[in-house]
Amino acid sequence: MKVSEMLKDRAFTWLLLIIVLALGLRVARACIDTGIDKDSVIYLWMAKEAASGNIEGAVSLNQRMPPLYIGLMALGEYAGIGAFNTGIAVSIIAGTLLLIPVFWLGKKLISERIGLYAALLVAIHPYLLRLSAEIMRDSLFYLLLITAVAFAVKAAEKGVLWWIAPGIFTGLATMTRTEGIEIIFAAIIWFLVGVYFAFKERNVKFIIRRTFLSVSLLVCSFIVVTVPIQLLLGGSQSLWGPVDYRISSFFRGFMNLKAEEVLQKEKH
Amino acid sequence: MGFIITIKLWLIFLGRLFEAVFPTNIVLLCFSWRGLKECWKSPGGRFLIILIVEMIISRLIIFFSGLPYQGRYLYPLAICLAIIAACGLDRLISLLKEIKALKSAFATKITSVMIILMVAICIGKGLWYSSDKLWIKEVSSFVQKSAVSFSVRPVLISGVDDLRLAYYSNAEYLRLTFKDFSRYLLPEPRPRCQIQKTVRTSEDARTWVPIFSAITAKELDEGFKKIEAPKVFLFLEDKDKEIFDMFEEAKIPFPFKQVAIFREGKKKTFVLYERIEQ
Repeated sequence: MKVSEMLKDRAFTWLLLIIVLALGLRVARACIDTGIDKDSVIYLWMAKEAASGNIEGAVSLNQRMPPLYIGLMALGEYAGIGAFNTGIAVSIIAGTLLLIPVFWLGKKLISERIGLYAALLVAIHPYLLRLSAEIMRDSLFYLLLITAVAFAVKAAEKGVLWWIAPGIFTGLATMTRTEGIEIIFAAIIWFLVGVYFAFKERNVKFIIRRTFLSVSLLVCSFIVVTVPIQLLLGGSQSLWGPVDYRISSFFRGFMNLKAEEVLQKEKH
Repeated sequence: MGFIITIKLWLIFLGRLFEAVFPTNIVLLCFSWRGLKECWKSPGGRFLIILIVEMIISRLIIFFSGLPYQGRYLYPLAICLAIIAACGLDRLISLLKEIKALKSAFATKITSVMIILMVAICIGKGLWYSSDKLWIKEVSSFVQKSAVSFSVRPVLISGVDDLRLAYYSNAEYLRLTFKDFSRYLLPEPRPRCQIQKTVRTSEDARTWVPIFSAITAKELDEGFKKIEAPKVFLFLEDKDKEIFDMFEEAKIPFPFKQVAIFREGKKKTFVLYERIEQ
């Protein structure tokens, strides 16, 4: 398809315009606010240490840090672009590209117009805009997470093999922020809901077989992406893993905490 | 788990959620019931709704577990809800088009007006820049310039726990603390204050360890004098008076002189001191 033909497609043209707006806003924000977040300092130091070959030193700065964003910054530092510039560039590009899966989701689930509105709402969301112009891993995480959701939606309506794609993107999202694994839990709950409906429709055997295959493919592709990296980092002091080891402490805290303690922490 | 019925906590959480999703999108969500129902009809839509519910539950658990909680943990939820809010925007536009008065005035322009309004509100907030934290760069630049003629890095002892000072100033960054004592090398009896620096330990990677602990002003004074650097700076928030109380009680002259004052809006004042060389 030629570019001129693509531009005749009104929705495509509008999406392109929204993407340009989002990119412009993010670049403008990055130029206006040249300060960095407290967390960014650690990211920059980690990237510089990693780029100089001192992986141990980098990991020691934050043992729980997922490796993807820092790895990209380290690559930029190594290539001479600088960790700072790479960090900002990755955030801006990821924050802009996020509009594509958002548009696709809206279009797929409801209509093309809703897709465009959703892309616009994400493009101008003030806090997403700000985060996309900072040295923070969140912007990349949102892109990978929502891409995983988009592929999961596609897989939900297509064949079993499609579940490999959300597995890969969930793995990449988890390598940016550990909350990425949520997609797996959501998918399992979604499959269970499907099985429940299948019981009603007496279509159980087929659905259970398909569910088992789909979940296996999702989890396997997730493991294939994340576990080798965990093993690679295993030689260092890194505590990062696809499943956050603090989950049990979250639940313990949730079960044992008193209201006053939470309020106290909130005040602090 | 009795704390879950505390209204105040729920209000705090809902406040955070409201802020993260953003008020304009919250308004749109009020009109998105039809879109939500349509979404539930397709398997993909059900997946999105299940993910949204799961995200809310997981954020609630983290919030109620008492961990330090930041608004950005809720932004993935804001993105997913933006898709639902888009249905609300569509519905709101069609409702406005049905109003007779508006229909006759500018029927075709309602969509444009609504979108321009949304864009203006959100961009205004998104690009708004507050220069409150400018002092971080100013302090760092002051420290850098003061030590430019020396080949050895200056030392910045900070009572304000912010690593950005270390990053921008490129000084050797030490932390002065009266409460967050390191669990390493903690001497008995308990010190009144500590000067700490980060080092790598074999046990749990990089952590703050004391380079010296002081119970009396005399010990602290000696510790300050022992720091080998041509320029040693001390950075404190104006309200941190404890160190001055120590020296005043012991009737020992404070070994630093004030060299600059920095402000964060009208709320906070910070003071930079430089060691008096003898």
